[in-house]
Amino acid sequence: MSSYVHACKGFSDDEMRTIDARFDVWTLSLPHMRRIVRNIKKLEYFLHPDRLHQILASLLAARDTAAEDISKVYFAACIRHACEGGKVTCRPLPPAVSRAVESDTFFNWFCQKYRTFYPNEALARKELNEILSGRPRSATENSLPMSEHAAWVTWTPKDSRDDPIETMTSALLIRACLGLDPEARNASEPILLLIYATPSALLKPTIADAELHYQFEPPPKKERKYGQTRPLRKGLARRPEAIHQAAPLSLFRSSRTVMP
Amino acid sequence: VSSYLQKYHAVGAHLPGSGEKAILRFFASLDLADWQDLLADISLHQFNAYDVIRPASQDFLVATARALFARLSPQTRALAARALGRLLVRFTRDSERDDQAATELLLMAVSFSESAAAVRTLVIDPEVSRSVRAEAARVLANFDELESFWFRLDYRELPELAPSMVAALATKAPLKGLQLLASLPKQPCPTAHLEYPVKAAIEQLLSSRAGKIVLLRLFNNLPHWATPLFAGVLEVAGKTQTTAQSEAALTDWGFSQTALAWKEVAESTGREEGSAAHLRVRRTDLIEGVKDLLEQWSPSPGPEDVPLETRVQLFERYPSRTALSALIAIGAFQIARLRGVPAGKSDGEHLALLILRAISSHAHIVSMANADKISEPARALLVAYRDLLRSASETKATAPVALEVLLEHGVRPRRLGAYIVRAVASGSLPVSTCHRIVLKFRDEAFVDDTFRAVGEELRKSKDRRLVVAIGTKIYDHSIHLMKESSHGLSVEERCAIPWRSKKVSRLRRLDPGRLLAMPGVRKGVKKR
Repeated sequence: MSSYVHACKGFSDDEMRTIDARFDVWTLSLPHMRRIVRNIKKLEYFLHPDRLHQILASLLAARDTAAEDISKVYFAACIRHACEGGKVTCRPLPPAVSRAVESDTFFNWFCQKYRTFYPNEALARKELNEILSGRPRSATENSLPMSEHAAWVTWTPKDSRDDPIETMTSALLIRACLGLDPEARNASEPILLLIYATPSALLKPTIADAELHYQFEPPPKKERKYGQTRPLRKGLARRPEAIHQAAPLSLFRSSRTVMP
Repeated sequence: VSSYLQKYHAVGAHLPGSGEKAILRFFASLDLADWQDLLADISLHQFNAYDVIRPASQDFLVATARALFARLSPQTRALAARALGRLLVRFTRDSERDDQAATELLLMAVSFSESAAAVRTLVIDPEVSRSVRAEAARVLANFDELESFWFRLDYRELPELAPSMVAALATKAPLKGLQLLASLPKQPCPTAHLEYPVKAAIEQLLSSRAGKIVLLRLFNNLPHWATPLFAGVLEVAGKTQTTAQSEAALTDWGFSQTALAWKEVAESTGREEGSAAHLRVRRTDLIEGVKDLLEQWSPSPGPEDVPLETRVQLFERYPSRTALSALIAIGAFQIARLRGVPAGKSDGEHLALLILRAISSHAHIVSMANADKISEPARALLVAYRDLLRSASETKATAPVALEVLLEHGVRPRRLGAYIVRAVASGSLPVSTCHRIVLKFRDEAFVDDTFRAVGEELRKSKDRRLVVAIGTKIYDHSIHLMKESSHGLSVEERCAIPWRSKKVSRLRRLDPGRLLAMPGVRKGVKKR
C-alpha cells in the first residue's frame, strides 16, 4: 500500500472528501498538477505516512480554496518534510554521482552564495572556472558546500546499458533524461555536469522533495532501492535518482559543460 | 492576485513546454508597477515568485531570476532596472527596514548596472545598516565605478567595505587598491574575505613587468598584519616573506640557476649591509657575477629571454638593494670598459646605459649628501654613484650615455655644466656633442642655463686650454661663455681665445666691464 493509504487513516470521511475536493480544484485549474496528485495518491512509498498525513492536513486547513492558494500551502508543507525518504539501499553505493545544473544559474548562485569571499562576479566566475577545471583547491575552498539545501543526483549503474550521463554531448538529451526544465525555458542554455564522490548519505527522493516539480515521479513499486528519473522523451530509460544534503567541494572530482 | 500573475497565466508561460519565448513575452508585458511587485516578491521569497521563476531548487530563486533577466530586451531591462532602483530608494525611506529583503534586491541589482546610482546611495548613506552597505559595496564592485568613489570611503570606519574596494580596483588600479588596503592600521576583516581580492590584484600586477617591480616595493613596506595575508596569497607560508617573494619573482621571470645563486649573494650582502668594508670585500665576487650576467645577455632578447634591464632592476629591489645595485653597476661598468667598448651604440655602451638607468633611482641618495646624518650604506652608495658618473664621463663610449641618463633624470643645469666640463677636459666628449645632446632633451632656456654653468665652471678652473676648447666650439652661447669665463682672466688671455663667431670676435678686445655693460649682450650683439 502507498503512503497515502496509511496517511488517510487518520482523517474522517468528511475530511477526505474535502481533501479530494481540493485536489479536484487544483487539477482542474492547473492540469499539469494531476501528476502531483497521482504521485501523492498512488506512487509515493518512501515518505513516511505520518509526514504525508501532515501534508494532507495542511491542505485541509487551507482557508482559501483557489488553485494557486492550494499550491502555496502544499509548497510550504513540502518544505517542512524534505529529505525524509530514507537512505538509498543499493549496495555498493556508486563511487561517484553526477549533478546536472543550469550553467548560468549555478554560476549566479555561486557568486551570490560566496560573495563574502569573492566580492565581485568576475572574480567569483574566474575562481569557479579554475576550480571546475581541476586546479588544486585550498582548505577554505574544500569546505564550501556545492548547494544550499538538498541536491538531486544521478548515476549510471554498472550493469546498465544506458549511456553514462557523464559522457553525453547534448544538453537537451541530458534535460530529457533527467526531466529537467519541462517548460523548456532554458533549452538554449548549456548544462553544467558536476561529478563528485558519493556523499555519505544518499537519500531516496519523495514528493515532498519534488515540491511542485510535476515532472517528478516516484519509482515503480518493485524498484525501492532509490528514486528514478522520469525522462521527458519516449524511448529514454529511467535513471537512478537520489538526493543528498549539501556536499562540500572537497568531494568534487570533475565537471563538464554540455552545450545544447 | 498580483497583476503580474494574471499576465503570467494569460501568456501561458506556466504551461509545460511553453518555451523561452513565453517567459520573455511575459516579462515584456509587465509595466513598472508589475516589475516592482515581482522583484519585491522575489526579494521576500514569496510563493508567487517561485511560481513564476520556477527555480530548480529553492536556493536557486534569485540565481534563476538573474539568468532569466540576462535575456531581457534592452527596453524591458531598463524598466526592470527602474523598478529595482525605486525599490532600493523606498528601502532607504522606510522607517522599518527589512535588511534581508534589501540584500536580496541588491543580489538582483548585480544584473542591472543601470541601478548603480541607487546602490551608490546605499553605500554612502550612514543611516543604512552596515551589512546592507557592505552588500551594496559588493554590488558596486561589479560595475565600472570611478576609482575616486572607492578612495572617498572611510575604511577605518567601515572595514567590511575594504574587500569590495580591492576587488573593484583589481583590474584598473590594482596597486592603488593594495596600497589603500595596506594603509589600514589593522586587518579590516577576516583573511578569507581579503584573500581573493588581493590575489586578483596581485595577479593583475604580475601581468606586467613594471607591475612586478612596484609589487616587490609594496611587499617591502607592508604593515605587520598584511604580511601573512600576502604571503598566504602567494602560497609561500613557512618561508620568510622576502626570500619567498624573491624566489617567486625569480622563477616567474625565468631566472636561471646562476641568478638564483646570485640571490644568495644578495641575501648574504644584505645581512651585512652597512659595512663599507664588506662592500669592498664582495666587489670582486660581484664583478664575477656581472660577467655571468653579460654572458647570458644578448643584445636582441628573444621572447623567452628576460631583458637585462629587468634583471638589474630586480637585483636593485633586494633587501640589500642599495649596496648591491651600486656594486653591480660598478662591476658591470668595469666589464664594459674591460671589453674595449667601441664607439657608437655598442653592446657595452648599451649595457652601461642600462646599468646607469638601473641605479639612477638612487639619485635621491645624492641629495642626502647634504644632510647632517647619512647612513653608512647610503654614503657608500653615494661614493659609488659619484665614482661611476665620474668614470663614465672619462670614457668616450659611455660619456654621452651618462649625459643622457643625467638629462633623463632631471639633472640641474649647474651639475650638468660640471659634468660637461669634466667630460670635455678628459677628452671623452666633444663640446659640440654635449650641446647636441642637451638640446635634444631640453629647451633653449635650459641649454642657456647649462652653458652659463659651464662658464662658471671654467671660471673656477681657470684652465685656459679648456676655455679655448669650449669657446671655440660653441657659437650660440659664446656670449655667456665669454662673459662668465673672462672673469679672472687677463685681457691678454681673453684676447688669445680664438673666437670663431664673427659677432663675438669683434668684442674680444673690449674690456670685460664694458662688455657686460653693453646693451643687448644677453640677446646677442647687433651689427654696428
